[in-house]
Amino acid sequence: MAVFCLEDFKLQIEQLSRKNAYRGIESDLISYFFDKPFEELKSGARLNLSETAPYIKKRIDGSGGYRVYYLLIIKDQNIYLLFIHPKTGPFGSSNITDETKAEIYKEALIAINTNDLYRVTFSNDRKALVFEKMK
Amino acid sequence: MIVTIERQKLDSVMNAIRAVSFSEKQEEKTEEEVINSYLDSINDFKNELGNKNKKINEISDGIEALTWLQNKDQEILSQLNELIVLAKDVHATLIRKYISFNNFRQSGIAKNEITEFKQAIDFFKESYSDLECAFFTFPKNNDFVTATKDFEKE
Repeated sequence: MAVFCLEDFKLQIEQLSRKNAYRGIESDLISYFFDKPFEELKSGARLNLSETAPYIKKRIDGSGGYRVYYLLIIKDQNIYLLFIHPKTGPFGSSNITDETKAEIYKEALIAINTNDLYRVTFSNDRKALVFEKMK
Repeated sequence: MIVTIERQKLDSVMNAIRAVSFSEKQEEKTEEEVINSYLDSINDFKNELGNKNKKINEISDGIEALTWLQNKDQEILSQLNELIVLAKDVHATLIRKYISFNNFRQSGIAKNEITEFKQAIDFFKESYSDLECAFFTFPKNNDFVTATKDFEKE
């Protein structure tokens, strides 16, 4: 299992984790994406109805927490983190529009095809995500 | 004779004081009962709202899980469409209810439960909007459909 992300996702995390209100965001993501079997990531709302490459919107940290959009490529067991937004706090917002959800999805396709991605791992103390540019 | 009259006067005043003492104590008890009953009502309201929030969140989880349905035939789509219409109607009712709690919220009564109620309503809307998006909006978006095919080839 490998975890990748788009550049926008990395920037969003860097921006959010600077704020006290979102101090736990990286630990929350580490717990959610790295501490469970791949199959269990098939939960949340599946936006593209695909069996083999589900595009998922997931609530993390309850209904007032974050919304994470990600893509699973089942046969490779790859996870692509595409977009995140908090529901509350200084950068809190309600849901993104359907157009934005579709736009993020198309940007993901381009990024994966051109390998314009970051490999995501985490620090030894499991408090921070580590991003490594792929190309 | 004088002694008797004075004793009667004394008894009369004593009785009057006893009566006042009794009625005041009764009244005290009644006021306490009123306050207790008021606090009980607030607790009942909080509990009811807590249960309502739990139920709404369970329904929202159920709606979210429907995006994993494998069968997408016309009958299923028709039922999903009906469910979404019904959910929109329920959402409007819940929002009206939330607005009716404004006075409580401003007075600080059941503030957390009312905030959680709003969050539950928002999640409910999110769940049926995502369902609509997945089954009815995105399948009509050609670029989106093409991207899905490309991802499935990956």
